[in-house]
Amino acid sequence: MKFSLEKLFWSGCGLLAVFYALLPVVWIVSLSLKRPADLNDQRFFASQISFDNYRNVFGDAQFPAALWNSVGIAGIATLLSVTLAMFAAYAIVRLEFPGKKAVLAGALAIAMFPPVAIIGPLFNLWRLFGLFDSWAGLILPYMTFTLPLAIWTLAAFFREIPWDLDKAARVDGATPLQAFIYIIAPLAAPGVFTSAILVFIFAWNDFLFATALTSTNAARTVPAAIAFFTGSSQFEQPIGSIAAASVVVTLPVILLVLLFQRRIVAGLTAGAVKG
Amino acid sequence: MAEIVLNQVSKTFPDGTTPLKSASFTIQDGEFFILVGPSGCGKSTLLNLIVGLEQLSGGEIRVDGQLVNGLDPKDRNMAMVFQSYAIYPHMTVRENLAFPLKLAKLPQTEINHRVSQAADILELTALLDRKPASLSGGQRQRVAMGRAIVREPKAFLLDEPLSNLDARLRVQMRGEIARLQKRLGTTMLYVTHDQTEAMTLGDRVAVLHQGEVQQIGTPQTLYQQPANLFVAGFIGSPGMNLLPAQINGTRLMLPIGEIEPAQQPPQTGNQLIAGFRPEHLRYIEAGCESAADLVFEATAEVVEWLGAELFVHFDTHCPPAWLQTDWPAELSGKIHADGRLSCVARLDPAVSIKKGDRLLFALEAGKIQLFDRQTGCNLHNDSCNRD
Repeated sequence: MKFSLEKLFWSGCGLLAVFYALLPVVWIVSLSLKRPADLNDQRFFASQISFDNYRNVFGDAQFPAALWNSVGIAGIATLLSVTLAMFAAYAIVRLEFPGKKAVLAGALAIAMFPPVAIIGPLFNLWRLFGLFDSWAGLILPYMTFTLPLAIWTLAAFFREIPWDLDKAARVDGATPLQAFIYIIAPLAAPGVFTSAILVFIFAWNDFLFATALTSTNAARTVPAAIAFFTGSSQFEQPIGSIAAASVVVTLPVILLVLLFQRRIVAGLTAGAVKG
Repeated sequence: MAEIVLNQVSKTFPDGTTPLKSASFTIQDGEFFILVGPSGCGKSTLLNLIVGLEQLSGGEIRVDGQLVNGLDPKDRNMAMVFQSYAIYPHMTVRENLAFPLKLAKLPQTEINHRVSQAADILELTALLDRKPASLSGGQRQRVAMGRAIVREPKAFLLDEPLSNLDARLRVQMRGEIARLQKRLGTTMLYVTHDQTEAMTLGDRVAVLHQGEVQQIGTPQTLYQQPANLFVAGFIGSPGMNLLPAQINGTRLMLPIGEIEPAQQPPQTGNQLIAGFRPEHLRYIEAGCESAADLVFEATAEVVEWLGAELFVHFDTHCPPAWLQTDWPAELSGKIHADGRLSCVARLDPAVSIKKGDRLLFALEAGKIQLFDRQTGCNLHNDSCNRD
């Protein structure tokens, strides 16, 4: 009796949390499916489902360009950040070098730094270097601000990999790089995926850098582009389009997490050593 | 196949610890050579130096006459089996075995041939497509061995390969490794802390203690003529009984009695240490003692009956005057504050002895070995190099 009550309590709590978290998402989805005329009908669910908003969003030149920018910039930033972080984290875990603690502490300090504090200087610098309103101009800050997180996550994963495996690979005839590529990197895959997803989500969701450092469709990403949405006429509210764009931009992230969550959770090192 | 020559090899870590002081010895081609010692004696460090995972601080290592000091581990063509097995968990058994061959860029047909051959030898054929996670401890051990033999290396280096197995499996794998080495005829260097493994497997055994080689020899030599106190106490299970002793004229005074030694020790001070193996104590009836024997009476404190053998522990008492002397660590650690010193006898399990029985023991003078009190060296053995 006590057991089932306890179970009920925890299930109730879980349901409450899920409901609370998903309510805005459901609302946005419902909004995006309403006809433009029904937007103010004060109903939670759309009375008649229409895809007009999606058609509008993709019909405008601005949104597909922004989507492409988002995919490209977030993808490249993720790739660069994770690759660099893998090498850095491996060095931090496996090598003894002076200033090892300083590197880790420095990385943490960068992660704590409020991005908004550097927006002004960065804006001027980027205009000077010609990086303003370019992909590189966004990739660089995304990479920089996500590197610490990636390094710390990956270092934790590398620490779990028995050092004997590197040694065995070296004795088996591998160069240090081969040992890293064939043995260590595959075993750290869950960590790589975890940090890649975190980095991607950061870059994908960022609004601050995206609005401040871009001005045209050349590099404006979706979160920034949404803010510039206008209705098809000046008397029409762009809420429907915004909702549709938000749904479109949320989908890849949800898909990513659903696809890779098994990968993230799976402990690949099982069976490496005794146990 | 290779002859490995170590010449004054030493290792000092940046933090100042010196796990290996100076080791010089030669491992013959095709020999099964054992490094044995308590944990922290430097044996694993020595292995890592030979395979190249750590850099030497001094001295040189030659393999077949070629200096390998600066050679990368991948260029030494030695195979190593780790205590943790270190099998690659994301690869199947087949991929594990093929990994060193792929790195050596062998043709695929040759790789397949060698992998199936190794799998045959180690009875891994049925497991080739399994992942390590689904293997038992013994099977993982065999995969690790397999990955070593597919390469046909110059030498096998094994770092405590059996210490993660249960006792029964350990005995079985011990036999398999010995057979494998005889069959392949490859030089094998085997590190262990278990002196039973050392005695049963090795052609020759090197005993290490505190980063120094104490003695190198066949298991028989180590057992019968230990070079010093450490080897005497370490080799044998239980180790040699050690007693403080004093020379009085030509007589040897022991806590258990006095006797004319079989061989007069060289004059190095009149206090020394006497040692004898537990099996050299004979349990006798009153009136049967012979003149050459030291006969004494003791009370059985602990009786351990193991089926094939019987261990009887008894106490002797150091004369209080001797307690003032500085005895070496191997002995002083065993003397209680009141002078009590425990000894053990290995007897025929057929005799029935109970705890508390008064027993009569006889010890032949020729079985007593004498050690120098300061250096710990065996006084009748020249091979001692302890300074």
